[in-house]
Amino acid sequence: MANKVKEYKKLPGSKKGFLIGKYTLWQGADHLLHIFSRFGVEDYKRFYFSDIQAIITRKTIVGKIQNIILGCLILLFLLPAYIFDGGWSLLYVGGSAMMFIFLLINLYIGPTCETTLMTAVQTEKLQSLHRLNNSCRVMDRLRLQIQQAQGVLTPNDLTSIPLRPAGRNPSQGPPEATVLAKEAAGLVNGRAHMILFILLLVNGVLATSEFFISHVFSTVLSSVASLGIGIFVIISLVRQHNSNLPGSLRTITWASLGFVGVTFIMGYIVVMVFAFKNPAIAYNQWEVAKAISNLSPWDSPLKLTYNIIILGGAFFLGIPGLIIHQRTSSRANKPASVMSAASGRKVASRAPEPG
Amino acid sequence: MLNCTNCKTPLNNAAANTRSLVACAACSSLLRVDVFPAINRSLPVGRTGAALEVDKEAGCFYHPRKKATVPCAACGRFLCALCDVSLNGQHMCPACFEKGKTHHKIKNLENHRTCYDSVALMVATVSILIYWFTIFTAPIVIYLTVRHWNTPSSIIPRTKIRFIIAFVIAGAQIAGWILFFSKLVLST
Repeated sequence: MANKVKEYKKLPGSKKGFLIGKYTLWQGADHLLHIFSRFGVEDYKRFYFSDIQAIITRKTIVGKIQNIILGCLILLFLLPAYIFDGGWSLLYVGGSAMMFIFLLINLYIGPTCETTLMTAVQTEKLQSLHRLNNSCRVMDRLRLQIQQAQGVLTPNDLTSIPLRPAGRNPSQGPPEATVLAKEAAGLVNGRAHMILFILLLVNGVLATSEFFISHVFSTVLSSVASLGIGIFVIISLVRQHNSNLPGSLRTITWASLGFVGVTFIMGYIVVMVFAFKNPAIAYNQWEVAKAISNLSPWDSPLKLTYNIIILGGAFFLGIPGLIIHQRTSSRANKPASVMSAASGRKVASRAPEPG
Repeated sequence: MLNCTNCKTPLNNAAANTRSLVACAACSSLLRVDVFPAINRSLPVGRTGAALEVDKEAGCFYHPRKKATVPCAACGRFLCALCDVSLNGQHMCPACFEKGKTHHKIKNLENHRTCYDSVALMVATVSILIYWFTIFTAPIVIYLTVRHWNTPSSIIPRTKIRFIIAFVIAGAQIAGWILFFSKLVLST
């Protein structure tokens, strides 16, 4: 019996989408197959070897940031593990050990990157190639396949790379005004995102302050900030739909929604536990709020856990969110200044992909 | 045209095909740029059918006054250059092309599939978390397994193991419920 020839070969690397989905890349006989699968549904994108113009891999600092955050979380979990005894200490040691394992895995799989594939009519991000080692390995494999389909690019050919994207001559495609109008349709200034990230940071600072000052005023402020986060996370999610905001900013906004959900559930648990422990004041909401406010995190492992989750999550989402937002805004303002500075120099650029 | 994927600044052509990371002159991002000959190739210009010059020449089925250049690989109708849809070395008429796409007969045109084996397995396993829910989900899993056993799953060839596991789990859940209800009946 003849061996069945495999139509597709799996290429190294895969990426889990945020909360749902998984991206993988497969090598076919004459094309690359990019699969996004979630809940039993698969979406396919094919890139034919004969159409691929370029693949650009850019090293990113995401991996370093992840390592720093994991390092901070290890320290954050070790501190209460040192302070408390018994079960709570074990819980924190367990958490710290888990973070340490994640850190080791992250260090082992190496630096992160962003891989972009270009054809004459599209620029697509290859989500599964987000680790530099994998990306380089895949590129070494694909290079041969693409060269078989297209031939080899000589140094002379390199110098003649056109200023305008290849395959799009002036008579083809939509006029520039249409493209600009399309870009403007998805343009979002991201002010709601900025307010959301600032509120997250404020919430983080308030949660930190509770370690030193236990006062009802701080709790009220924290509640107001949480309410604001809840409102602005919804506004941001609505605004970012079909916008030109970068994927990382969208992901952080979705993560903020998850954070709001987690803190709400945790807050509810804290209040319920406190009410059960103090049945005398259980039916007076204001008294419960005051009593919880006056309780120092150092006296209650449950409240300490709650505060650690809030300050960890708030800073973990707020700081990178604000950095990415600032970077996006400065980049959005850059082309105008570059154009005015370089007088007369025509800069051709590829139109951004929608979505 | 090669731009830095971070700052969109045009890249120096010398950065291409070095097989190592090269810093962008504008933003210092480290980039590996692999460029292929297609970058210098322009898109083919769209063709129009040539008009018939002699009456004896074969005409296109859809445009009788245009010269036929190729027959459709599926239905055999003569096609002019305008009607010729070329895919994977085959020439097809727009009707067969559309039919192939809607009936999922041309694999390379499919960009979306529902994998019922994964759906069945997910329903079977996730419902265990809310165990009383399995009274509804177990029959659904059995139905999905039987109904879609022969339905094409992922475009990447895979075995039926997901269906089998889902069926076994759902069977066990149904058996559990039968046991529970029979005990309930016997005790009352």
